[in-house]
Amino acid sequence: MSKNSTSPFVRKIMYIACIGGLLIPLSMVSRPEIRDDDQQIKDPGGMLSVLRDQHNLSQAKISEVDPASETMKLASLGLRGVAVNVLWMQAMEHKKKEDYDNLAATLKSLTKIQPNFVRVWEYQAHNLAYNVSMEFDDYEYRYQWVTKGLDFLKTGVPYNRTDHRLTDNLGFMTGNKFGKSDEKFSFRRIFRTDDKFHQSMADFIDPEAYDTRSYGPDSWKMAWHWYDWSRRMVEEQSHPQYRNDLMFKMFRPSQTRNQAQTLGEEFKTDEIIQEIWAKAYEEWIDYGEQQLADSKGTIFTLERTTQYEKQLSELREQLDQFAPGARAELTQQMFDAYGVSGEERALLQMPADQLNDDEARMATKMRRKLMTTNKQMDQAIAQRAKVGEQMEAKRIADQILRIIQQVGAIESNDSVINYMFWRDRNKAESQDVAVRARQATFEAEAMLRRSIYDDEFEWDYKTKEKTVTRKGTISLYNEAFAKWNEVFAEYPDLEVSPLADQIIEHIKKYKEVLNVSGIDWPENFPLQRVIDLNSPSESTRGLPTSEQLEEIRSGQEDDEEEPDDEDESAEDESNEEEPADDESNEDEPAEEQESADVESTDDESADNGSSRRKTSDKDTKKQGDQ
Amino acid sequence: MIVEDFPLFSEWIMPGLLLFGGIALAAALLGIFFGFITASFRHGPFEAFYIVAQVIAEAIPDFLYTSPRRVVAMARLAIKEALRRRVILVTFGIFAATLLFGGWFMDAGSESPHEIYLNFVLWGTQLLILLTGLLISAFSLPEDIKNKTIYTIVTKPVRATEIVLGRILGFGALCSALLALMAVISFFFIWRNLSHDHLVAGDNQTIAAFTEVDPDNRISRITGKRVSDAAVLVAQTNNVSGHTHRLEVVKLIVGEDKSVLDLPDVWKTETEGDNTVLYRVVCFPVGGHTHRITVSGSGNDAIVTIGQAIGQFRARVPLYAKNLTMLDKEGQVTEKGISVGREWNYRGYIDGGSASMGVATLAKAIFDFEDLRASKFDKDSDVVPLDLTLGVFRTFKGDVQKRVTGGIQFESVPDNAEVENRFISDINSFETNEFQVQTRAIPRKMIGRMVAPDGSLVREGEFDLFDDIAKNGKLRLNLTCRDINQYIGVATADVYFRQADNVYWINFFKAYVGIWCQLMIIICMGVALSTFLSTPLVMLGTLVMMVVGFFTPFIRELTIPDRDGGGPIESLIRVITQKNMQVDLETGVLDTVIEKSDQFITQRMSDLTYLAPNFSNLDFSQFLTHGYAIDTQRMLVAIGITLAFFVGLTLLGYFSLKTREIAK
Repeated sequence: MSKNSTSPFVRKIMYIACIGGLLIPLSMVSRPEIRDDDQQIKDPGGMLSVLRDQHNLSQAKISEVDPASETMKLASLGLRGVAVNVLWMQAMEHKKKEDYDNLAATLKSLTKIQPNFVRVWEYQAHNLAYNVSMEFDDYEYRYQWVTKGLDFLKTGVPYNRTDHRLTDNLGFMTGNKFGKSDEKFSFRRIFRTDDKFHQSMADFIDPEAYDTRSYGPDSWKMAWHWYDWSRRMVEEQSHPQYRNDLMFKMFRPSQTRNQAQTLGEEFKTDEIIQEIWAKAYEEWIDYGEQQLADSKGTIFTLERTTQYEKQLSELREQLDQFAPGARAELTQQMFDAYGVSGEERALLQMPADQLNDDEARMATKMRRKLMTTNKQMDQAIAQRAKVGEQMEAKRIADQILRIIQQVGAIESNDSVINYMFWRDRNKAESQDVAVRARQATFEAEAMLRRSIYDDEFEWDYKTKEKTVTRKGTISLYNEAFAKWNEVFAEYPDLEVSPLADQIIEHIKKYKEVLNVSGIDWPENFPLQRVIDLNSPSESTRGLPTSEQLEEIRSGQEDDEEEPDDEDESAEDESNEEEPADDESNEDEPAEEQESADVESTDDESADNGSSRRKTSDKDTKKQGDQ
Repeated sequence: MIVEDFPLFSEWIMPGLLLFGGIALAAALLGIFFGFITASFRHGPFEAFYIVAQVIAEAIPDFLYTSPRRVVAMARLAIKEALRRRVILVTFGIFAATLLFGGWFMDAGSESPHEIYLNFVLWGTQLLILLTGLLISAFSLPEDIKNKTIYTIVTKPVRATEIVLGRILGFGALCSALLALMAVISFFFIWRNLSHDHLVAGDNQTIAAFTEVDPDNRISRITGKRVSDAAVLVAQTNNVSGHTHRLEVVKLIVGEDKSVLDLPDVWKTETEGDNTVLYRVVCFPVGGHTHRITVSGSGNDAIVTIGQAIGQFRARVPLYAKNLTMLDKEGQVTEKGISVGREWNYRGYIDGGSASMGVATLAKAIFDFEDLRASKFDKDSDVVPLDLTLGVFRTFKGDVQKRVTGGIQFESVPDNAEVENRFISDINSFETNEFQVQTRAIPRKMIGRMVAPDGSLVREGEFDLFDDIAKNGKLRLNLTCRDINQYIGVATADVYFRQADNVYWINFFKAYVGIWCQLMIIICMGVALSTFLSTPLVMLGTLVMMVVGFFTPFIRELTIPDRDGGGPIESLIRVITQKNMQVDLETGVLDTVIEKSDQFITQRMSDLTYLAPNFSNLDFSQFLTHGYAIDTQRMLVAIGITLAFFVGLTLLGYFSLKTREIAK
């Protein structure tokens, strides 16, 4: 049969046969992976599937194939990049024109075309949960858009099961938006009853898993679970880790303390919250005991600082035995080379807790300057060892260097994550005394909101005794500050910390209440030391330091010693009033009465510091004299 | 809904005719010129003059004596030919498949699912029908010419006008029928997918499923969200179509109108002192719809039935203000109000005063309404609905539990302000509801004062909106922001009186008139181009015009002179040399050449946008998706544009066919 005579019908049949024939090898190489009921790989799939799986190019398993996504990809006729760009521009236009429903719909289409592009999920979820939500005036709509953003991001997880960045972001956004935004209390209140949202997340986190104890589902606990997903992805399923150890492993335990902290702001602290603080401490210690690697590859364990330091001094002692006197000689040479004065040398040798702020700063500066030479000193000592012992000395010197690097890594990283502070804080907050302090603070705040400053009591006319029926803000604050004082006594490092800042905020409120009630600043205020340690700073502005109080008191004592200049009639008047106030004065110390004048000038003189206050007192006195 | 222009056909027609006349004249002159040049090459200039004159002269009888009967015959032929190609069948198949699987892509749980569904069907139909129109019109004539089947027609006594018109009308009729079928199917698709009802969430469908409201904080114990001030009990519906509704039992004092006692959603009535107190069950709207509630029985065992959705399929008829004037904080007129720094300047903002300025502000948005007549509203109702879609901008957090507050005040606008008294109402405060259509019931009887032209008080008391205040049909509405340091954003379309709704299904089909206009233009273009170009070129040409039509506003934006980054050539150089838009190119003489070339190119691009149809003028989908009646004036403008293209492209098609050898 000649070529030309082949009928069109036969040609078509031949084409179809060829297509069919080619489909057989194609289906073999792109055969998807199949797993059995126990999720064990039954068939790894064809070569194309294996390659796709290796390079995370698309869904290589039957269960992961999303028909909608695949149809969209096909419908773009191979122009996925173009389609994505057009949709991206459309999304931007919708956002610009405040058409947020269509923005969400466009994003859905966009991610269906390129579902493995992790950054797109992250960027647009942030767009919905943060940028779009904030456009709404009503916080209930804002809440809805936050959940939409989270829901959007969650949709990306099945497409990117090996990438923990999405679950990390889910954890971050859940915690941050619900637990730290301006509307956090309203958001968390809605969150607790939002079954629809909890059900939408149920594929990943069991709604029963985020603390349904008496307070109901907690957003921080949900965030904890998302970080736990990330941890399992990396630690149990050996998928790549995209963050450094320090941060990656820190996120999960820090959610528990955030939970305890926020619950403490919302409710009166009780055993449940105390238990969560204890759990936060356990998790934090667990984190501190893990081996972490920094960006330079140094392996360290945050909890072992003391151990490292002890090891370091032991090793140095051993090393010094190989070349006695070498360290002193080399140190002297180093000081001479850098021109370190005798005073500076003394500073370097003083224990850190005996230095004031300026001295500590200077010592740190000096240490940095000498660091390189100091690090090399152990190597230099090892070189001075006898020939037969040099190998052993070198080994010890190397060991010392490694430990120095570990201590350095801990020091630099501790300033990033504040490990020691949170360890102390978690432990302190889980103690009974801190719970009582929190309870009293909470009650004081509640009374403050209701403007009940003084105690309410019943007076028994027969026994002339009063029984307090309800404590007011002042009493509750006094009780709280006494308890906080106990906490700080046990954990002195917390005296200058964010916790102290929080307490200082309460002290400021306390001072305002005292002013309103006409009560003087107490002579032995339990947290005076905390104010002193944190002064001068923006947080303590307006609060009197011990030094200032002392100056005022001594000034007033001087005034009392000069009674001749006082107006006779004024003295008489005060003497006349005295008997009437006798009873009330029994409860109030004389110093408090005296400092009442100071309180009234305190606010205006706060900006100018103690010297100004002293001057103004003197000026007043002078005017009185005239 | 965003409405940036309010066209009136009477205002549009004259400039439109002038533009059309100008383009037609320029095209005619160009056609004559090129026709003459072409003929000159073939037959010499002298002969060419006669040929051109003959073509023009023959055109007059051709158009005058065009037989409708022959046009219809040609149209039938075109329909048969198109059906034989099976393009229509394939299109319909794709459409059916799209609707079948379309649900996969749509977010039924969205806040406004009807918008997403409507956008989907309208966009899908538009794309499919335009491509179908393009395919059948582009293939027709060139294929006939190629296969020489055209001779079976041109040898008959038919005029070129009849061939061109017959094809346009034939293809138009066929595609219109397909479009109508698609519209009907789409209507039922949307109706079926969006119709839903709910149940009361909980163990039973009675009042017992409701919980009490905490009177201290007005927060629902079920949802953790705020409830209305009048709520005493609260419940929630189950989740259907991705949403739930809040249900409230509200306590109201019955006024003079006792008919409210017979409403189906009344649970019980009580007497408190001299007042009758009514307890109604209310379903709160989500995504622009609510549900009808019926309560049967009494006490806590009263059964609550939630009916079908109301308000999902609606066609609001707005009465917009004729004029919007904005005053700044000093009371000076500003063009657009205060800019709060948004990228999109659709809304201007008015401030609520600032503590530093002693709170007082004179900023307000003044809406002047005209033709406000009682006949446009429900006669039996004692209120007039006023819809607001305001924007809000906060300069500081403020009270997050509360929305920003605005104030509304009405004023009469006397025809002769020097003689007539003027009415000024009390200021009505309200909480805004950003990004939502917020309906406020304005009582026909308003409390306020009547002042004389000199400002002295004439009378205080109650006045009728239509009989006293707006008796000349004019009314002024002053909108103010009443929260210190916060702003309210407004555009003309953000405040309107809502007249009685139009019938939804009529409005739905009106949206397809816009698509039909686009379709007819594409068919005219395809047929006209196919008289002198081959199929691939016709398709390419029409596709280009279609793309230009869809992106006309974007292209016009690109052709604005002195844009940052320059025109196409300069932009290309910047891309290659990685220079940002603010850096000068510094290429010397070349710079001037580039600038001039860019000016030339952008000007031609701009011209092109006027030759291509601006599809945004023919697109009514946003009216439908946002639940507004499609304005008749807009439809008339769209039909006018379509007619202009029809006439212009028919002439082009006729003269092109006439000058081809085959038609002679």
